[in-house]
Amino acid sequence: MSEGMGIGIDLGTANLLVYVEKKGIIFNEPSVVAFDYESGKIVAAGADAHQMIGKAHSKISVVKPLRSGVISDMHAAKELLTYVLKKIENITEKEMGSATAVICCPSEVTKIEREVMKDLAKNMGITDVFIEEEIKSGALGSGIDIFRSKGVMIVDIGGGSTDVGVLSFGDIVLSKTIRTAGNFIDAELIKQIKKNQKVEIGELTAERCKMDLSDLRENAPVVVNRYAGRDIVVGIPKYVDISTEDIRDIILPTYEDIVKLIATVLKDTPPELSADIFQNGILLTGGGSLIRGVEEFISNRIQVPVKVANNPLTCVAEGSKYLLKNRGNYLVNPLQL
Amino acid sequence: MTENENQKLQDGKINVGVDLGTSNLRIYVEGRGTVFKEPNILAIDKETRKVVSVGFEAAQLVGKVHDKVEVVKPLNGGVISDIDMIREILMFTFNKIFTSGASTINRLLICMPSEITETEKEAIVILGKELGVKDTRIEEEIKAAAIGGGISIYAPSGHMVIDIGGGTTSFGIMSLGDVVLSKSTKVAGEYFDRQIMHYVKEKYKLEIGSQTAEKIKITLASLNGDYPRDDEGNVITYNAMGRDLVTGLPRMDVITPEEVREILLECFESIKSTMIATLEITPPELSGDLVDNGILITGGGAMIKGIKEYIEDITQIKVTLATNSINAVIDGTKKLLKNEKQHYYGDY
Repeated sequence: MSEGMGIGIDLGTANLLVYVEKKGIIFNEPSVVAFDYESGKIVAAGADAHQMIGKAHSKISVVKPLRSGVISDMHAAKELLTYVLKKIENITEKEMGSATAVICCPSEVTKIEREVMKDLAKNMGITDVFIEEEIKSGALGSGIDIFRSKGVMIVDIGGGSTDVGVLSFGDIVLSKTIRTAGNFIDAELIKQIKKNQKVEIGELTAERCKMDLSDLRENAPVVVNRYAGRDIVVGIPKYVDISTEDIRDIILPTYEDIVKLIATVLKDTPPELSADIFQNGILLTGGGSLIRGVEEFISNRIQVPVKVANNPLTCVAEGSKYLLKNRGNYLVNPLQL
Repeated sequence: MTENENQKLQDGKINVGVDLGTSNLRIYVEGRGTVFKEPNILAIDKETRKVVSVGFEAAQLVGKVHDKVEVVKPLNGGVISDIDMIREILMFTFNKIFTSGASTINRLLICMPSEITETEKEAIVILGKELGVKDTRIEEEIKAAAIGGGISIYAPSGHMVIDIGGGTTSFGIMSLGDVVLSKSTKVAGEYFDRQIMHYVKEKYKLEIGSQTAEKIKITLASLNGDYPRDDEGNVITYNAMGRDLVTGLPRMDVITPEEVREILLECFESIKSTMIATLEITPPELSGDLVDNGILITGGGAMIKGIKEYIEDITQIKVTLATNSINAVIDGTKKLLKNEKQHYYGDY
């Protein structure tokens, strides 16, 4: 373990979390950044910038640096991270140079995409960087000892991608990713409301609506909430009533897809590990596990106990704490260090 | 005035805001308030090209001058018609306000209609330099109107402002401290006047001047059935005087508020369609905010009776009338002058 400071970065499509050794999680806000067009300077980042989505004038550009789990705008990603790391108190450039960073990414990113993430950290003056899978970090962060030879299945439903992985003996045995997750639901919701109710709602409203009304339970009570958007026929602003039923029509197929993905992974899992998973069950992490009734929904279909992590949103960043200690080496159990 | 402020004035550190509207010119001087509030008209001598009079004096000359004097409006229908005349009118008024002319000014903020082009903006900035001002800025009228009307536009939330002025009616959607989009139509105060003149000519065969038409509008304008009444509750009418088209002799006719309403309603059809066009291109997120935040109406048009209900009826959104309707823009410059930054900045 190096002398320098350890930094764990969970660069998610929806949220950016930064963990700093001995300080804990210093940043947990949406990964959005807003620039001034002319000067190119950051105007806002995180939650402030998130509120600007769909509301900015031409002098401000609001950028999401990640799409579907990978960096799509390198410059914006760098600016966002620089801004966040500046928040660490009393840090000098020298200390930054000697720091060790771990960046968590979805499991099915290509080598090039990983290199991009490494470049990002190098751009910031951190020389010692390694990339780890989000699910591994998530499992560690939610308090599971993955270093025993016991199979653990973890499903991470994030903003841009859904990861399903089986871990044993300190590393990932197999994993799969699909790019349907939170943002996909938002986009589908906008489409459906536009088609059925003839009202166009914004990205932020769709996200809020999803958070308010998502419910996967059978016989869930019907709740109707009122959101504001624009009537696409006459063009004037209008309220639209969205019910849990409307959302259900969208999240059901999305979660069926996720179940299918889990089933595919289970099919490929070595039988010995399958037996472990049958006993221990599946662990859910990520924002998508916050939906009511998601546990029963999956366990009804897979016939395996399902549990949501205690800290579904922060477990990846918390897990980076352990990864910083063993640098992802499966032979070293950081839980015992 | 404290000694500090006195010092500031001597150092030539005065900030000045100018609302360069089609019909009115207003000048705000920091520490002194709105010092000039007159029609944006000037009369010049044709031969020497020297300014004869500005503001009210010049406005009274409209339609009443002899050959040697020309009455000019530097802005027409929301666009600059004569940039030299803008220079003349600004020089003339600044010389009137400040003992040592425009060179005393530190920062000059000029509010102009949204549709002026970049070249025109540049011309104004150059003009500012010629006048000896170090820092000349151009802002959109609609933005100043929103700020002056008391909207906090710096939040990430959409607001709509309708500014019914003399030359143009502008619609603007504001968020994060700047204009997201704006549209405008030339159907505004002066257009209403022209329509009234036209109507009286057609119907009564009577030709009236634009000053008379404006007075008719101000006294009788109402968009709903609630007509202006006198103390005894009788509906007010206006005795319009002009020249009979047939005989050529001066004559008088009675104009009723019903007639004015008919004319206005026709004009407002066009305002309505521009408003809908603006709302149509508004991003849905901001459109949603409007339902909560409502619409603000500023400018002289806010004084038309029944305009609140008229707009509410079309949009189904709560409408508020600015209390300082005609001074909203100049009040906004007051706040904008204090602002170092152009638009939203957090603590970054």
